[in-house]
Amino acid sequence: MIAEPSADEKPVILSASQIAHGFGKQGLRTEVLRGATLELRRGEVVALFGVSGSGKSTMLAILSGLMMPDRGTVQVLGQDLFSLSNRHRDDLRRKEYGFVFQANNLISWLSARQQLEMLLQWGIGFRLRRATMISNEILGKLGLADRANLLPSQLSGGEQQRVAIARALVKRPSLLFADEPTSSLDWHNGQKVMDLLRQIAREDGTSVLLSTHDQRVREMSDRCLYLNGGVVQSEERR
Amino acid sequence: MRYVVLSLVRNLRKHLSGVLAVALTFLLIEGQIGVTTGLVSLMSWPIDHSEADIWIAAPGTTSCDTGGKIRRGWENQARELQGVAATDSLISAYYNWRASDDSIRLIMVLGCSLSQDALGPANHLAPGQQTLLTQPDTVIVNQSDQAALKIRGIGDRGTIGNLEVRVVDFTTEMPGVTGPYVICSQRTARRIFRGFRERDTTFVLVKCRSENEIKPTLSELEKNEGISCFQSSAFSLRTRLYCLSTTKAGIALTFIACLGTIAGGLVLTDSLYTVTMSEAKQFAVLRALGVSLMQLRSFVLKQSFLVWIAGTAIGIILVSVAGIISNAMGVAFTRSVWSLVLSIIATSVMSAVAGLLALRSLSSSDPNQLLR
Repeated sequence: MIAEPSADEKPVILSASQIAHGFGKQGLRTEVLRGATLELRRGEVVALFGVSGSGKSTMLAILSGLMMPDRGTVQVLGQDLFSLSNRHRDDLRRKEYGFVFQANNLISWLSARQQLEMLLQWGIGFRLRRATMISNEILGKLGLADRANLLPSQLSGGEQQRVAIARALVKRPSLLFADEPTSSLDWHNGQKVMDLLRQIAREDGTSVLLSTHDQRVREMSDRCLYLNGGVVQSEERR
Repeated sequence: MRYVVLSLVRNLRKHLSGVLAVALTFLLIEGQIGVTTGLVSLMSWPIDHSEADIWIAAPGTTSCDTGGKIRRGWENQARELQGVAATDSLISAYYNWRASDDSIRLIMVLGCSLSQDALGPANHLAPGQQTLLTQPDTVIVNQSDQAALKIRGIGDRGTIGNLEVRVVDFTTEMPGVTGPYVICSQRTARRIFRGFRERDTTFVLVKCRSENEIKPTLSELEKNEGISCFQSSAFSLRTRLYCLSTTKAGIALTFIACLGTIAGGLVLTDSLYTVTMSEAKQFAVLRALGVSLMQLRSFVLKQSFLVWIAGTAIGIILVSVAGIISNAMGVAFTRSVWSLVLSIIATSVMSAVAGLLALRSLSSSDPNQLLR
């Protein structure tokens, strides 16, 4: 029997070094990040904690390639994210990244299954039949098989967030970024979402980085990082 | 296209404003064109209701209500041409109608020949009415102008110029725009227009033996100096354009039509833009998840296209209903293929512009903004 590798033996798939970023101009400029550094290994769930305005969302935006930092580098799967052309960065995001946002932002006129199908058809170019097959598989895995034909307005808040997670996972990304995924949910539903993220990380090897200020998430993450004063001040392994 | 259709069907309430904007803009444009051309066509009524192929008028004549005096002898000269089958003359001019209560109204007097082979607009009167007009100093007016001219009924009198005339009947065939048409015999017309002698007329009307003879006959007549010659269709169009571009009523109609079209276009553009803006966040998520901007652009343009199709279909139904209602009410509302094509082109251009403007809202769908 082969032993599961320890957390430190798993390969690093994302590393950010000395990330600095600010907003505003001249006298009104606020430096949000002042040299933050972190690593993310395959299949681990990492929670990024910090008070409001500490730069969690900015960090997430930079790590996911949605925002370019003023300074610092981000390596993803062996590639320097910001040395890539916009097109190649978009390609990387399309193939390797999944996102779950605080507000699930599901498309109001698409059923749960169609949310996933649309992404597979438009994002990857799958035919409808194949897209439907994969979507059903993912929805089934997330316990949403019987909710597949419902519109977002017919789903509960927790179900909506699970559909948003299913949508983020449907392309089987290497990295999943989640911005406050539990903040709009009650504890029961929040716990379900966290269980789901852990299951994905364990079974599919997807690395999950979530920004949160929800302390309940601490127990359910492999590592917790604390962002303060624009840098990662401390790290806590679970 | 599947998702575009789904977005429209399941989000109907949101898109309904866009569909209705297209439909109402379509109706507005069709209505403006229909009413404008309907009204303007009344200006060329004497031409359109004559049997003549060619009209001979005084030099510089711009429309059928601005003709000057020419020699009636042109009738004989025209008749000598090989392709000419018949000739006739028409005397017309604006005059004041003084009613029995001394009120005054501008009218257009049409002095027509009343013979069987006459080419003028009196041909459209019933045979009995033509006979009535052979009595001296008698006129026929349009039924709808009875109130405007303060005519109580048949036998009532009015004064045109200095001549007292008697109304012998009414017709429904001669609606006027700038002033009511009053039709009479040429003899009565000459008594009204005191300066008009027996040898004078306003127009000479020419009927050709066949359609093929019209162009050669026109060319022959155009060689003469001291007259203007027009083919009937060209003279009709010239009259309408003159009315549209020169008369205050025509300019006002054109201005209102343009204004209505612009207003409709703005409402349409704004509706489609607003709908796209309301979906900006959802588009941002799709962009974050790897859907290209190009695909989203294509989606927005297809959405505009389908909104336009649905709106145009409703618009065509509305125009048909409006046409039936307005015609039943006696309002001139002309529908034609070219006005339909023009409305379709206009609304499609507006929808395309709206779609392109809506694309700009996609730039506000930056996925970065979703991370707060």
